[in-house]
Amino acid sequence: MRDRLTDALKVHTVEYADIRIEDKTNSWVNFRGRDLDTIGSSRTVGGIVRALYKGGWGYATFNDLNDLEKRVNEACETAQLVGRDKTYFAPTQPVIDDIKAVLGKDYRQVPLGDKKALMEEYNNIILGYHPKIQTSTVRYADTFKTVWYANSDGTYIVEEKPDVNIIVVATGRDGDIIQNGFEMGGGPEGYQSIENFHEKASTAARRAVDLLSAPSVKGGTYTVVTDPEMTGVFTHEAFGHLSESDFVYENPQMQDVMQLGKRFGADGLNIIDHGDLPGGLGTHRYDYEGVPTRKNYLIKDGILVGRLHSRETAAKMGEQLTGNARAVHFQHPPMVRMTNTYIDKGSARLDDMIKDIKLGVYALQEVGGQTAMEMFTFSAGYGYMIRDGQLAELVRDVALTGNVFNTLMNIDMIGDDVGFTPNGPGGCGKGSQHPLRVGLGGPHIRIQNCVVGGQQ
Amino acid sequence: MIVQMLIEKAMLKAQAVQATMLTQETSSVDFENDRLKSAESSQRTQIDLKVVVNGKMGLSSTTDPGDIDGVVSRALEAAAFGSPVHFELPEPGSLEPVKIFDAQLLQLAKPEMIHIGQQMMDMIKAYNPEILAGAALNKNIYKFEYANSRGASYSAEHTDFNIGAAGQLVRGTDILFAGHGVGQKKREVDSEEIATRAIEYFRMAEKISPVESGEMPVIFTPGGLIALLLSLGLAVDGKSVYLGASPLKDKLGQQIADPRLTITDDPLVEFGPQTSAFDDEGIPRKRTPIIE
Repeated sequence: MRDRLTDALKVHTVEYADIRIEDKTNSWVNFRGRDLDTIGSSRTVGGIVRALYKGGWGYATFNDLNDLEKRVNEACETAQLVGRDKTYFAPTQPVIDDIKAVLGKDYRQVPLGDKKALMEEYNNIILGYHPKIQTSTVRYADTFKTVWYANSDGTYIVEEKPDVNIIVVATGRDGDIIQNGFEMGGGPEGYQSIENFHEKASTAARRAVDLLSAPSVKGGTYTVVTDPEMTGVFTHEAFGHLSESDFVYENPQMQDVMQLGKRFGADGLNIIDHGDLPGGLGTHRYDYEGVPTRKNYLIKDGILVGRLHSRETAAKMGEQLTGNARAVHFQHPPMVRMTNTYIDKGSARLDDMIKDIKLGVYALQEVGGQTAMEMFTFSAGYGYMIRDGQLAELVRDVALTGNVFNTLMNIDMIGDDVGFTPNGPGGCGKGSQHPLRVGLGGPHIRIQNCVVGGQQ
Repeated sequence: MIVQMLIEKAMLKAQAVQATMLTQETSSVDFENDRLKSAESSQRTQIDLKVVVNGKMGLSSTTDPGDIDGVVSRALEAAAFGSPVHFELPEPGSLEPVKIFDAQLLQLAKPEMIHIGQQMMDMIKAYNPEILAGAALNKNIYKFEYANSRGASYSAEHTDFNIGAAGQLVRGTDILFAGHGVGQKKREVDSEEIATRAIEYFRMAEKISPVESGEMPVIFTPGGLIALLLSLGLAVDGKSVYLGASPLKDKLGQQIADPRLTITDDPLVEFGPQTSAFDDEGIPRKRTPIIE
């Protein structure tokens, strides 16, 4: 493959060009209710050529690998149609590397029938848990992807990217009330990461049943404690995306908002994007421009100290490369994306965060949300009221909303217990690229004056 | 035809087979931050196979037309452990006539797409030079083929045209993103109207008003209505209703909304973005009233 890619790149007529080829196999088993919904496997092969000329990009994406020179020419001609200005593109040392997957139990060697049998065990646990369990969803998927990357600087990288994930969902019903409980798991380390999920299946079912009789949280402004998952989604969605320099690099007004050196939080607030974090869901050795990934501080002791870059944004802003040019797959060019983003651990214990809260909310398990630039809304899978310094009743329909800048300033306690969101079928979305594997996490944090949506 | 070849090969061991194939060519241009940023050409192939062996179903797919034997053997392997099949593949049916292909779109080349995008962006900048403007145009030409072992066989050529203009305005720590776009299957479009609508959204946001929490009437724009329809879409998903996971289970025939509300799923809208004469399971499509 190396000769094919480097030979194809020789025909380029622009300032910079690269090729990324992917070959992916995957299999899946999905149960919905008693029935096996689908079972199958697929193979996806394709590639993308990027060409950069006078500040304009030309892309060619394809499934047919037969004529790579034609694709290079296509991308170059397109770039020459687009390019009208000066090119900004930070230099980096060419690298040659071959990164092999390290799997404990290789899921490619596990028969599809065995995968189905294991998922059926989890499904039966949910369906047999309680009469109020209405239905279930159990989704298993594994992927093994090989990525070949070469660029006109002389870089050539081959990387194997394994992933296995599972989500189990229990749906409880009591009259017109329908509630879900779910658990997710898996990771890049192998099939063993989704074995022994029986207890998790029970947990999902128990939560669905418990939530049926839980009241909705009463909407209002509370002191809120978030678990590591909710901390992670807040850090990623509300703050992390503003640190992606493609939002900033050609926008002087945003550069004022995100000016390095500005205070965003209290002393002790540290936010990090860590691309080579061992075992992280967003971990890579190199990004898709051949730049080594690394640990990047975004906020240090409450002060904005860094942001995330591609080679283009780093050059334009005169800042260091960070290794954050990523893409979901070959049908997309890389853009500035987070890797593993988290608030670093502090020193507070969870008990200490709660003990002096008269009336508050403890929000757990992220189920997604959305941001509209500086405004965010995130839903929790469930929560508990905090009354007179003690955890009280279970509540549902917990949604946190607010302005990221105010919320960061309102974090007054940071826990000593960093954790990350488990693997699952989803990921980060940006533009049309979804889902990208990312790690998100942090410790428990306490936020003052946080708006919680719910019933009046 | 590849779909027929797949059926022939798979039927050597299966009792029923369905194959689909998508071949697509796409051109797009993208403006960001007041400038033309990129353009793209894309070629795509997707082949999907469904087989039924001894009453059980297996699925497989590939992007490689040279992987015919692989996709067949993987589907057969999956069927050995597959879900019991409680249905038959459809026989050939008669399709409603639909307008899904506009030859004028074939003529639309990247230079003209760039020109249209630049015009829309210029309109936004003329309204307020502080807005960082953007625009995007995307043209797809694709062919979708369906065939099954009961003799149903359909093929449809589609054109898609997606066009939008947007911008970003920052005041202090207030960050406003607004824009407008359309997706359709024909070339004819009023790009000035798209930019004008995007400007109108910025105009509506010129004065920032605080909102108090509470119950109050809310007016949805046609585009904003999707927030409600997405939830409804999940609730009327037949599988969710069948499994009892939908709040609309057992509500057929009951009053669930204001009597003035009518909602229809219409896959036959002339040049509509999701219009087609048959679905991915080879079922002829028709209008379905949801609420009336």
